[in-house]
Amino acid sequence: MTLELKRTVYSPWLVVSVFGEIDMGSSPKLRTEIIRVINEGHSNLVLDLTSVDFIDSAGLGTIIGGLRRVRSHGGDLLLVCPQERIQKIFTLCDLDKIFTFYLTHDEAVEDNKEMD
Amino acid sequence: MSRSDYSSGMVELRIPAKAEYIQLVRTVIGEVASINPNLNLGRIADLRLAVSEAVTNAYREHTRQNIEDQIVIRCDLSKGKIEIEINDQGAGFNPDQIPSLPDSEDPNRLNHESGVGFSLIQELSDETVVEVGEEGTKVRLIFNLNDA
Repeated sequence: MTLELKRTVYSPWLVVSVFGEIDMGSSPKLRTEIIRVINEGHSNLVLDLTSVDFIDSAGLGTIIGGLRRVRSHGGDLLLVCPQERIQKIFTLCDLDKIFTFYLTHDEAVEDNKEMD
Repeated sequence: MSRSDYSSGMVELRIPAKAEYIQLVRTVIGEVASINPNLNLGRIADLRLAVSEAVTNAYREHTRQNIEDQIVIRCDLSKGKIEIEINDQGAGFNPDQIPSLPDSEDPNRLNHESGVGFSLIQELSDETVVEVGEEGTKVRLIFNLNDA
């Protein structure tokens, strides 16, 4: 399944960059990574979807679950999502009311400095 | 190229009910749909997502009920529109009885990781038809073509 993940520390945030397609087959890999980083003590996550080519409802569900998990640890999950076609899928499911779409890591972190 | 050039444009895929085949289906069906120049890139992306959701639902039904039969996907370009049929052997469902989710502003919404797949299909397709019968469940997605 074509999904690759890369971590970058952007203190106090941990950026998880996602490459490829997030669907029923690949979303468990993302879910596992989110749970792993939370267990390692990172509850402030930036999920970077810049290089995501496709996302479906299973992917959306994984991200919703990620947000629930980090919040239960007192953290937050920010989305870097510059692609309009990916934003559209969140919007169709009314999830633009839950997530803000940032264009870059810098913008996401700058806009949430109170977390520092 | 006129629409009549697609008079024999039927493509059929048969896949095992395994999650790793879902990407293959949307890729192939997306490529088949793109043969017709009257569907723009945005609509092809919509079609790929709707097909992926429908095949995911079929996969879930087969997995839930331990059904080993293949899932059959047919794509027909011959009717002046694109019709994709996803045929599984699950027990079927009534689209009117799919539970609604909490409002996005309700904190309880975060407790629901699934439940938007069929509404996405309906949003993205021009028409969605669900038939449950002796041949299993058939979900038919219809995408109208714009004149290029």
